Amino acid sequence: MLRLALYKLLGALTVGVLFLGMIEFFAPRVIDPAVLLLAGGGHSGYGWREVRRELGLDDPWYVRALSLWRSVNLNNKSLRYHVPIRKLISSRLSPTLSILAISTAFSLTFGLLLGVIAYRFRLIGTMILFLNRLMLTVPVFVLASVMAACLAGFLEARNNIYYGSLLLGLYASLWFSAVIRSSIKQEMAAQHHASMRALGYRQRDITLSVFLGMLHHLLGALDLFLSVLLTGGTVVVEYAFHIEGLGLLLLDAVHYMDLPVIRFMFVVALVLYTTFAIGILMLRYLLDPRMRLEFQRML
Amino acid sequence: MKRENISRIVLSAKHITVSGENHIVYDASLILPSHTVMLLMGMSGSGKSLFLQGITGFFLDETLRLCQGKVTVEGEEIWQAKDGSVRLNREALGDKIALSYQEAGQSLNPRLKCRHQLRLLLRRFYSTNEIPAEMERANEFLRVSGIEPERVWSNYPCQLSGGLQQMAYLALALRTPARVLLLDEIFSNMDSALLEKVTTFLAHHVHDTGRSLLVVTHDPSLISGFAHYVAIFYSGRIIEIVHKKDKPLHPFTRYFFACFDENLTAPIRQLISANAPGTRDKISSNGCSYRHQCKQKINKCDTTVPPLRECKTENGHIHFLACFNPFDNHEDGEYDGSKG
Repeated sequence: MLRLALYKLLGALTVGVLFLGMIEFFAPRVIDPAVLLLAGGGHSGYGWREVRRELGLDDPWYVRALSLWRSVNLNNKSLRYHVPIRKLISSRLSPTLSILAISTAFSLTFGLLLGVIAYRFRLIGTMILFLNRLMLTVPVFVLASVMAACLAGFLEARNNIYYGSLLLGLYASLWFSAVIRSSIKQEMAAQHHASMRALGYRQRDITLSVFLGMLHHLLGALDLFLSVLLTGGTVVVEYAFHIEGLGLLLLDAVHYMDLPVIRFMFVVALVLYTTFAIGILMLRYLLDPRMRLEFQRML
Repeated sequence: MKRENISRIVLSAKHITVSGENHIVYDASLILPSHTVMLLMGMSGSGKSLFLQGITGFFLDETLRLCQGKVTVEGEEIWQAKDGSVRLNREALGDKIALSYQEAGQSLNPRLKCRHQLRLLLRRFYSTNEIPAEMERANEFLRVSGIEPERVWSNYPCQLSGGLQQMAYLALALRTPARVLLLDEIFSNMDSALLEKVTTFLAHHVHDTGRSLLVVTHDPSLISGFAHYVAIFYSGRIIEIVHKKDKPLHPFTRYFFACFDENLTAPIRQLISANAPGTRDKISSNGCSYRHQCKQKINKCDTTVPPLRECKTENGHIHFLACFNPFDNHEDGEYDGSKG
């Protein structure tokens, strides 16, 4: 199990370094961060060369890509706001965490409920599938903007964390309920569960087995759910509802080529996602012996 | 098994009709005496497995439905279809009747070790004190078959070969207290040596416990040594139930048994394959399904489905037949390809 975690960690690090390398390689070619910094007046008294040296821009891009420690230094200053990243993060962390917590809790509970109802009642299941397909065809950004605009008309939705979180939660719960429905359906139709019934196993043993199988399916979809749908959705919601959170900070950073903030956010996101994904993988590994055996064979 | 020796009928399945996109099993009936091994044979795709699933009252394919019929085991109702709804006695599953599906690999729970699966099953039927003895019986079955029990129980199903998966699955089925075991091609992955040991064990088991087995198989070698009766399934119906020592009377059964005959000459074998009935002839509700290939056909076969009726036999064995113009008991109706 430890080997699997190390194996995955190594993979994530490789991907992280490659992406960071791409950022380090391409970003200074779009606009020189040192020029941006000097233009903002953040380093009065320094020359262009000193600023480049301080930001490490004179090092080759691969050296910069491998210097991950430099990226997570909280005392690095933002090029746009001219304050340490630490201050920026602390002032913007709270709204983002609130959106994430509310939308996750809402989508997991409501999605689970909706998924079970969709499994039991075919018509509701078909409607959810239709809505899900419809959602996938409309870009999230457009949907959030339209909803924000509609809500703003009569609900004072601007800067309101709750409306944004509930909208994201609703969006995610539709997707989540479709996953729940299909995983219940798949597990209930599995031959080994029919076989348990035909041999007369206790109903609670069959239910537990169906639940574990369902959990395995869900875990497989959960990393995508949390990383793409909720994390990405938070950025969109913050933008659409004008909430000053980390998502908006990241968008600003990309817009103004604020390299220290981009570096920091990327490395933090990578660490969080890798930890989460490895945690999920470990759980799936524990739940399914076939996966364990397959991995052992692979190694 | 002679009629006077038959203590009682344990399984009675009457008029089972299964519908999906169309009728897949139509008005199929069967009785099974106690202490009996009955083989359910027929061509591939004729509906044997669905009939077996129909006896338990539910299907692997959720789109299939029971339209009519009634199944009882020792007088206790397993299910009955009435006015479009099915009343299923779930408590009887495992207790009175148990089914093992084809493909043991998919039928065993992939997330549990075989030992854990056996334990869970035993907990449903036996008290804590009885479980060790039952586990020992399961071990005994494997040992008699030449398999080290630990090799099966300490592994997950995906770690076992196809034959061992079937042995594990069969061991589970045998540990249920069910009076009737329905086994769907349970021997298909076993080598001949293992098959011999397992069938010998099962024959003794049936004799000692009074259980009955209904076994779907395509292996003709089981008829002579293992089985008492053979039920022939054709196009969604049972057309004949005959003792292995009696002469079959239905034209299809004679054709079917002729296919297994090792003494057939090559030209006759060619004739048989050239005249083989379609594997899934359209199930007919207004005439015999076999009438288009039948050499014994009469006018009535075109308009009426022959019901399964009991025939009189000289030796007291039970014999059921669904045919308006069967071969006579003394008539030599072996397939020669010249008739019709």
